[in-house]
Amino acid sequence: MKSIVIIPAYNEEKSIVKTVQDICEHAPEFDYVVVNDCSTDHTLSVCREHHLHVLNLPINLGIGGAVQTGFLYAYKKGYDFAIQFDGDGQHDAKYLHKMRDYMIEHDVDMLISSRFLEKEGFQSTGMRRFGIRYFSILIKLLTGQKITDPTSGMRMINRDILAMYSESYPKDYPEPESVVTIINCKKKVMEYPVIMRKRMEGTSSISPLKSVYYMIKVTLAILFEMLRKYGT
Amino acid sequence: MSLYLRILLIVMSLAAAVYAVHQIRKSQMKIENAIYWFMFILIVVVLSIFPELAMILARILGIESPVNLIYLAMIFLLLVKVFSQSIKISQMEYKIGILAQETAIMKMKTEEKDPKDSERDKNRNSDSKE
Repeated sequence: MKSIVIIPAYNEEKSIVKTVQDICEHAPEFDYVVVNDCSTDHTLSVCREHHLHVLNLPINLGIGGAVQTGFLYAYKKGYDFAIQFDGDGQHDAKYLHKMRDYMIEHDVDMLISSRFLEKEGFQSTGMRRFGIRYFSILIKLLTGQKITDPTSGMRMINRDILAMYSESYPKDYPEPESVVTIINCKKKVMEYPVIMRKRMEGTSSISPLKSVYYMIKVTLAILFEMLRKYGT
Repeated sequence: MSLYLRILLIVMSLAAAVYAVHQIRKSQMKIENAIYWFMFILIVVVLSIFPELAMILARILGIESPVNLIYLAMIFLLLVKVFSQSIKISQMEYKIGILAQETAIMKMKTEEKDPKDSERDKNRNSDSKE
């Protein structure tokens, strides 16, 4: 089963090499591709220097567009599994095998890694945790399914989901909305407990003011998804 | 403000809101772009239901009739929106330029390997000259 790790990267010059090394070391049979979202720092030249596989976007598309580029590439190349993986060092490559085995064994369509299933490791900051709980409750209310970490950036999908996402994927703050889409299609979505690290270098792309906008926009987007399901 | 005007504004605002929702569902419009219009509609509806707000504000600003205040506010909001769209269009033209250039360079690379690709370009180029 061909598997690929999709690493969206925007200004991750300091951590991108270590991230790829982590993957090559702990999951050598996984292919990978870095999607450089038109970084303004030296991310691209660092990647070229170390001969990393890079999809270099000529314009900045944001996290949704960058990840979707990876999905489109994975689908065209015939991959069976694709996993999204952060380029900032928060994710641990040792889970890649375990997640894929779990997916195959339990016939899961989408496996989301969750920091909050066993509550170990870096549990994110207060404001983020509040946002995460909010979406967790919202999703439970609207779809009936409990997702403890709806904003998690390490998610593994199978080819069916890959086809869907290649065609349509939210452009910004895509994680909660895209989960709702998949749940509404009656696909099997499960979570896998992981420990995540604190961000290695650089800063997160979401500021406090943006967080408020994020919550409003994603709430609206999820409500629209539900409208789509009940077809008005 | 006459009752008829208020009802008309509310009805048209709701119709606009329904249309906006429909466009979002057809994926013809992104939610972030629609938020402005939803706020706009909300303001019009609130002012139509509570025209006293418009009357108080009109008095403070020295405007004769509250209706004029609403028109002024709407024109101002539209100007802001149109201006920000000019900025957005400029950004989009810039991005399209980049994509066009990258495409041209990439096509040259693939045409060097497979000359049949340039056939489609010849037909397209001669059509667009009309």
